[in-house]
Amino acid sequence: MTPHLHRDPLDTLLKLAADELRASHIDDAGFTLRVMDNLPPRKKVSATLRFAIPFVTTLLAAVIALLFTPAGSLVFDAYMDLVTETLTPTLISVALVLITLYAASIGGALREC
Amino acid sequence: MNPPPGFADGDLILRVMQKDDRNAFGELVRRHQSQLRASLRKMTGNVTLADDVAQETFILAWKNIKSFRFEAKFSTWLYRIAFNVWQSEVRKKHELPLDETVIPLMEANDNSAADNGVRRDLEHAMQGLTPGEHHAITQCYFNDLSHEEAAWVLGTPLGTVKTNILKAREKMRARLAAYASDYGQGVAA
Repeated sequence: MTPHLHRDPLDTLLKLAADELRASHIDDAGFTLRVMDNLPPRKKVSATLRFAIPFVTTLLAAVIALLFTPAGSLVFDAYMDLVTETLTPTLISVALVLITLYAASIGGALREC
Repeated sequence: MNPPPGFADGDLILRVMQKDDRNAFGELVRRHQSQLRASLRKMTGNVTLADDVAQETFILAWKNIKSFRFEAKFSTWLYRIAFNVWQSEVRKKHELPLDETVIPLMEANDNSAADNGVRRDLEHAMQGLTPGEHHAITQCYFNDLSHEEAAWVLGTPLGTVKTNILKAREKMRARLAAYASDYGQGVAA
């Protein structure tokens, strides 16, 4: 039996053990090197994909909106205004929405870089 | 280029997050390997297994570094990953072989009589603890975590950790008392 048990058995024992653990040092002995050798390479996303993914997603969303939502007629009206070179509030608002979407997608892509 | 040694953990983590800086990650491994391996040796009781779990822990930390939110210390985050890896190993193998690489609870790096006594007494006191109680004691006393941090590392409710600590302390006190009594009689005889 060690003497410390006669004083404050459990707390003393735990404190001594914890102190011993903290004071101990396990030599690296090549451990870090082994870890670094086994690290997987990062998956690199190409610059083209970083721009293409948000752009194609935005385009797809626009096509879906055009085909399946009431907003589609708005886009169609804006397209007709554009073809006939008539500046209408519809054309301006749709143009603004598209510019915002495009800017957002580019911004997202740049943040990923 | 290696990051200067004076860099704080947070700076190194940011370099890894933003630039995939392998040198910065290497510095983090160098800084934390001893503490983590010591903790795992105590938890697993097996040097080889502890080092394998430690290596897997660092690899997972590298893969998931972007999910580190700076809400906990990096060492605490490593303990959490290590505990999950260890638990996964336990589930895979059901029971782990304890061969000649088994080590006592305390790392045998000092052969002084007093330290050997601490190790022996501690091993004796911790015998009979449930795994939950053992883990709670290890995290709170040896890894120096708060009850909240230990709960996060172990993935258990805070109340469970507190209960396990209380129960473990009761059991350890009882075992130490009986041990002291037995030992005293032995010496007297």
